[in-house]
Amino acid sequence: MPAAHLDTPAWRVALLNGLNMTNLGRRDKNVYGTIGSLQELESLVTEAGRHLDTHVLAYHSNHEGDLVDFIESDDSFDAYLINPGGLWAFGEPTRLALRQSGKPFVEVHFANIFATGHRSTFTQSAAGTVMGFRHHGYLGALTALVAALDAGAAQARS
Amino acid sequence: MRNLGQLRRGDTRWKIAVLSGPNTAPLLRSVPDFSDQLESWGQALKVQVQHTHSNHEGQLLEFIHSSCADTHGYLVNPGGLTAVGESLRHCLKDAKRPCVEVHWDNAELGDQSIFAPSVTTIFSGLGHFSVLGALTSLALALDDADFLHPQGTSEFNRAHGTPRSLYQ
Repeated sequence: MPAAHLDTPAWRVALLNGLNMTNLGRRDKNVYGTIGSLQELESLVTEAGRHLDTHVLAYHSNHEGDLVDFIESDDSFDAYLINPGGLWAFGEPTRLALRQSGKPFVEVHFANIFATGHRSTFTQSAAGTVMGFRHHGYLGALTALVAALDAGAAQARS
Repeated sequence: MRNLGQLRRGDTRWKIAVLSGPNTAPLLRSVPDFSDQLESWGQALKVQVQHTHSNHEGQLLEFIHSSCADTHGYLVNPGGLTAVGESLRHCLKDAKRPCVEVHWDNAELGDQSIFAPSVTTIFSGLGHFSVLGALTSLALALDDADFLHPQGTSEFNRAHGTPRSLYQ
């Protein structure tokens, strides 16, 4: 590890992908782009974490309760990145679990869902919201999150 | 600084303009310092960044009119114009370049933004680091021939909600 990196902490970030994200490679490419699968996406973000000296642990489920269990059972993460997938509109248990964790989280969506006239329920509790960059949004979100953690500026919202 | 340059696949020095609208100066604290910060982030990401701050909507319009021919994308914090800046919104749409709506705080992302439906993407929260994140994602999206690359010809190189006339 280069000496310049020794003074930067290695953060632990959980990457959560919610409902329907397992179907990624087969969804509308006009919205979701050309990324081949959820596994490809998770590898991309985990690899980016290595460049940012950040440990990314990827988890996904099509069952909302699994996401809540995951968040409640492990408090070792410094922050969360979440694409709630189909939970964006009504994922109250997941949003509340993230809020109760007391850790900052950033919601990422492939599409600019505001452009469709909808609002995500996660936005009100998220430290950050990223929409419309397809899979590239995850890397920008991780970059900004790590920089904010480094500066002690990443705050969980109440 | 962590290794931002490693995140990109391409090496084109995209020219990205960052606009800070009315009422954003108190957030920026010092406009020259913020411009310097953006320049160092741009160097790390290997893109060119130009920052403009104005409290005058007309100056923002004139800046976009004069810069869009040789700018690859815009990051815009509309500040006090978020709910009412119809001229700025229309001007950005006419520029036919990818545009990111940036806010420093998610509280500004309520129901009131008139920009959200016509911008390509949104990056909000995380203070001034939202600008860093938006720069990173925009550079990667411009590198992507299937997405925002100006010479992209893929049938998939248009974002959801983005007018098909982007670039044309």
